[in-house]
Amino acid sequence: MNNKSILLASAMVAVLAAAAQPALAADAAKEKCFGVAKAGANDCAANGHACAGQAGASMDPKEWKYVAKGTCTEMKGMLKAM
Amino acid sequence: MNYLQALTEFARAINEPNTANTAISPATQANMTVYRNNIRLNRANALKLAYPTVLALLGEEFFMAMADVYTQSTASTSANLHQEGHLLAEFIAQFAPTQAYPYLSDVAQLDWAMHQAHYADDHVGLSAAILAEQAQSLAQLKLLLHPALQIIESKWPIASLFAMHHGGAKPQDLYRGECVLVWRDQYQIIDAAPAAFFLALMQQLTLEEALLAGAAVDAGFDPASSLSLLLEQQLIIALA
Repeated sequence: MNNKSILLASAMVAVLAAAAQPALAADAAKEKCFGVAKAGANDCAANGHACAGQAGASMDPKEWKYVAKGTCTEMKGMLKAM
Repeated sequence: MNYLQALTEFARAINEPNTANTAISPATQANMTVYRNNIRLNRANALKLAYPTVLALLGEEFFMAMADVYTQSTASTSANLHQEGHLLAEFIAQFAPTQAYPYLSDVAQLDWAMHQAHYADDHVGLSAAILAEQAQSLAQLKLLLHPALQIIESKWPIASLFAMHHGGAKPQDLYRGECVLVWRDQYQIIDAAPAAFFLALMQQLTLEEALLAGAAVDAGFDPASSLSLLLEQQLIIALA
């Protein structure tokens, strides 16, 4: 058998083996409901502000804001000099 | 002023605070700032939800400052906030303050792929029995795969970085690349040969051509586990 035949045979065995198994019940945990947002994404509170408010405050970028305080600071020591 | 002109001027006034805005009355001009900031904040908050790993890596303050620059420079293309942020990975790749974190753009790609997969259209997967009926013509079949299915390849350990923010450990080696297969709410690190196989299927090549694409990367490529995965996860939605 050449390589192509072996690949096809292997693919066929996989398909037939899967077909021989009893049909799996759809995993309830993976069922999706339309219109349902990810956790935390669907309530007004997630917006963090009242819909009416949030006036005035300047949102202009400031250099000091670009200091990472997240987990990438843990990775910093692993980075080689580029 | 007709309705279209009024809308156009209003839209411009949102992006350009200093332009004249005759579309609304003088008495309510001051409220434009509130309106403008709410738009910016809603878009930035949508980015936070779509990019949880990038958010965790950079921290809240950095992320929100970056999100603000992104939303200012990138027009929204949809009224659906779930589609906000489709260009953030590209943005991060050229944004000066993120250059210190060369893996970040690829992590953003993975975040976005997971986000897209979550909201992709539903399709019922074909049962293995239907494919088995075609066993004799398997070689020439084209498999149409679920739209949630994506492959992200990176020279950085992006899946490990993602896992780290979902309870996993810190990656051991930051310089070990990972190729990730993403589907609805799940992902798996895959080798280069299965990746070539899946990519060929996505490009609508025949099963035989896809098998050979996998074997071209690794002569020892065994398609059994890749096909089993597609069937078990119901990721084949039609045959052609």
